[in-house]
Amino acid sequence: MKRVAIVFLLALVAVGAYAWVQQSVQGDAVTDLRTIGAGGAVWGLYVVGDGFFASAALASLALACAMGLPRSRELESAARMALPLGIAGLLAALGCVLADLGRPMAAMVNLPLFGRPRSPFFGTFTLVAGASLFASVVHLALSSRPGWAERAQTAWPRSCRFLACGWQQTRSATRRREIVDSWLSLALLPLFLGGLVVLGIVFGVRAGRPAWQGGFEVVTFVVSGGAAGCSLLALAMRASKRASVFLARALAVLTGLTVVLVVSGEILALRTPYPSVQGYARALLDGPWSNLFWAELVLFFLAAIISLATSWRKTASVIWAATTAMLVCTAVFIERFLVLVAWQTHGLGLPWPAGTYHPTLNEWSVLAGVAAAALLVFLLLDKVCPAGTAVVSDPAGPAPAGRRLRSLLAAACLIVGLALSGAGLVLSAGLASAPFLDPILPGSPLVFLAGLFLMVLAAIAYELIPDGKAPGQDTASPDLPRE
Amino acid sequence: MKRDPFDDDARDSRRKLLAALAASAAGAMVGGVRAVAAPSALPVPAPSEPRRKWGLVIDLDRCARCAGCVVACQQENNVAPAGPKAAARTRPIHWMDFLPPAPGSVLATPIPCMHCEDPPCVKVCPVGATYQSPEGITAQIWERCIGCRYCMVACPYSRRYFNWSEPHWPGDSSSLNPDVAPRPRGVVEKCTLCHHRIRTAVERARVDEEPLTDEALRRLPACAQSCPTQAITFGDLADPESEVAHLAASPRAMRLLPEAGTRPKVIYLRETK
Repeated sequence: MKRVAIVFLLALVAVGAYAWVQQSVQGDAVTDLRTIGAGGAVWGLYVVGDGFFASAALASLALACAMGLPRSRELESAARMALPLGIAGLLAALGCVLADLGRPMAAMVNLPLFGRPRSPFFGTFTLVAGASLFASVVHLALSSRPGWAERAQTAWPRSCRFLACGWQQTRSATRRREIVDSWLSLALLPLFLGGLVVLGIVFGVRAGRPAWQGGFEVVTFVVSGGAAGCSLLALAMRASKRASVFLARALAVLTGLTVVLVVSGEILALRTPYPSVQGYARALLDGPWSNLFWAELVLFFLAAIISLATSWRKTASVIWAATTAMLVCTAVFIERFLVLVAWQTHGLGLPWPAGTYHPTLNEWSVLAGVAAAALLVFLLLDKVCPAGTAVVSDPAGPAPAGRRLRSLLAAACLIVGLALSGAGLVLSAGLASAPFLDPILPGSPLVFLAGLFLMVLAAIAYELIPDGKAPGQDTASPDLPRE
Repeated sequence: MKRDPFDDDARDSRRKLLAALAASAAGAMVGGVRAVAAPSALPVPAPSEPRRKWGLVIDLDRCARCAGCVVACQQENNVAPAGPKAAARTRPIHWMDFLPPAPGSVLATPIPCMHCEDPPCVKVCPVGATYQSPEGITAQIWERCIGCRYCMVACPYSRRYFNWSEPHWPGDSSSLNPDVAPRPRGVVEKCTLCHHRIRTAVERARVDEEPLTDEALRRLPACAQSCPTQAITFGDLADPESEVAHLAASPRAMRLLPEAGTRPKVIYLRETK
């Protein structure tokens, strides 16, 4: 059954790749995207996919960080599942963006050279596509070390030992693991939330849209993204009852809040004096997008009811988790679609004709291919990166020897990283380089990104530097066997 | 023969070679970056010159809706005509277009890029491919554009166009204007207020050591030049003696979507008839 599923996913990836090649050869003419004002939308399925995958990934990662903070073993194992999920989601979002760009190759050169912090896209490619992805990979690799060390005894000993990076089941290593996990969770939480908010700004804030409505859309984007991440995490994890109930409760709150936000936003938009906002709200309520709008509300409502029932009964089954995830993800996808597309077709301030947008088979194929590839990445990471069971919590263990060098190196990484990212940001902002507002130094966005990467590398430095041998002290715990 | 690793001369020559390599690599990088970075040479006033603010005034009473400006703009700026397929899918490119009549009105409005004083498209461009020149023209460096179309989503006037497919011109390329570079597939393009004409006019005045007069500017862009009723006037809005400044001060003057806060430099004179 699993093999059939993998073959099916590979076939979808092949179809998506073929559609992508078609688009690369013939241009975006193979999509149904058209000029705003001339009856179409310039951002369509790909950007919706980007918003959906990235927000679900960032939200699940942020949730994982929040769940990892209380240092509860039950929640931690659930939180760990979010890492492959987040990585797969962020890669899918990256795929969607690359499919959408008119000149993806130019983007790969020009964004690191000339990226401007004034644009919300700066945040999406540095915070989301760069730092969040890198940090998640580092977090996953570090948390998989105990698992790889365990696996080295049964299969692929060399590779697993290499991946385990010298993991030894000592008190000191275990404590370092816990410290790094906690600090990474604490440090990455604002990064993931920041990325989510930046994405919300890309989707929600528009010139000509009143500020209150833009803010409303950003909040709705973040909350519904949280719901999508939560539902996928609940589906993906093989966790304890406590974690399942926690996620069900969170999902009930987030979906319920999304319904309230969507309905209030619609009511406020109908009462606003701006014709463009009213046109948009009418198009959702009883216009050409009304079917999708009502479907979105019903799906969110159903998901809220199911999650509430799950948390009330304190039971969690895979079928219910799958049903809820399907309902929530469909609803969130529709929400992204309406915020993005309906505004372009019906939210125009000038009397341009109302537009339409019906994604072509080519667009659906690319999106399906990207989603299938992301699912394969998730399955691969889940298989390759085993959850460690060797983590032993023992706060009363002996202080690790050689920690001075380790702390110094980690602190140096943090300080240099902070300085680099600060300098990169200032240089990228092009302050005092008016009128063209280019970075003062071409490539400054790369400096900013390198600074962020270096800060994440502090975790690696802290965890991987082995203990020094204090005179007369054996760092290994007497009751834990050395590997 | 084995080289002595402690040989100072050898070390010096290696250092020199490495330094030369690093310098040439840096030079090549800067040169390459400059090639993409350099915005098309818009006329930048010398420090002693007063800062200009180019703008257009369109008199809706005079406008005959003949679409001559649309055709002239296409011809002047090498805007590729839409083929039957693109036209059927409503993907033509018109830097100058006609806005359908608003409710309660019967006449369409000619609408170029508004060249806003606070352009939202400039704020959102992630790579600085669209920027505001010192004289207020919202311009586009298409070599740098990555085709994300954020500027199109941000523009409240919908005055930007994406090249959905490779542009084709009927016949050979001899009909193209050599002063304007054609844009390839995958980039966004827009009205530049015919900045190549402005540049030529400014340079000519500088070479001839004559002042750039308002009369020489009024019909400078292709749309203004081609307008049979002289409904379109171009000029320096910062010069209180210019015709555009006088027209902009008229009680009939209005801007599109003032609530967007973009402060367009294309000003309309309301219909009175």
